[in-house]
Amino acid sequence: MSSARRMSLTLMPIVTTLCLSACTYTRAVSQTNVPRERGRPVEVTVKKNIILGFNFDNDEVLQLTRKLRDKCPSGSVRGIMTQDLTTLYFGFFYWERKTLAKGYCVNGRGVADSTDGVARSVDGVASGADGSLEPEISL
Amino acid sequence: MKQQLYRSALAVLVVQCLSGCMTVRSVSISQLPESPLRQSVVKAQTSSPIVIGIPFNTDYLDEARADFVSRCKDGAIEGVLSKHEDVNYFIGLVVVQKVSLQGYCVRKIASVSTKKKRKV
Repeated sequence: MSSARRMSLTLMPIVTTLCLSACTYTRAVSQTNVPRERGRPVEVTVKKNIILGFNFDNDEVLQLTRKLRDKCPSGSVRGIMTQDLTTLYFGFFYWERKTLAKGYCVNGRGVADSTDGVARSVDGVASGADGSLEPEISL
Repeated sequence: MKQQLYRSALAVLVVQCLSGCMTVRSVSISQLPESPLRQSVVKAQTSSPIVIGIPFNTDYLDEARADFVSRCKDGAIEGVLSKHEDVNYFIGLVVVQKVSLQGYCVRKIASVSTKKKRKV
């Protein structure tokens, strides 16, 4: 057997394995404020398949908000961690882009309320839950 | 002269191979609590290597989150800074992905008073 043929026979399984396996890379991570109540975790995912790297929009990520809302219809979702992942298949010819959002469903409270034990400011104006313009924090 | 040049090039190459260059991939920060509530800082950090372009897992992200949340069991975490970065070793042959989370554990309950000051 010639050395070239022996070499190609050795390389073939390596190339095949590389083509059939998939590598997942992290592209971005973010984390928002974590609430005290963490009893009801929620998780949603959106995916997009890309062939040969051609991608013309990223609109699939807009579904994340709707999906999170559907998972927690009567409350608010806090402590959201988002992960943007890309998995490459068949020697990088086929990509799968996946965006995950994990959070906690907190019962019926808005951002303006002091749900996490902290008075909040909305739109740059400090305001209390009752709409007062001068909140006072008491510990 | 030529040998000296080779030596210099080799020294540069060795330094390049042994040093780690850091690249920030993404950063986010959430709302900060009021200053009296910024006493207790909580941090969590995990990492995962990529060797010759082959990553091993993405579980390190979940591990970081679980560790972060467990450090403030009886409170909320505010002012969260999340940072995702890559450290390149051996001219990019080995890349260590690192995720760091940092925030303030707010344990005490603050209440908003019902002061209403309206001008008539």
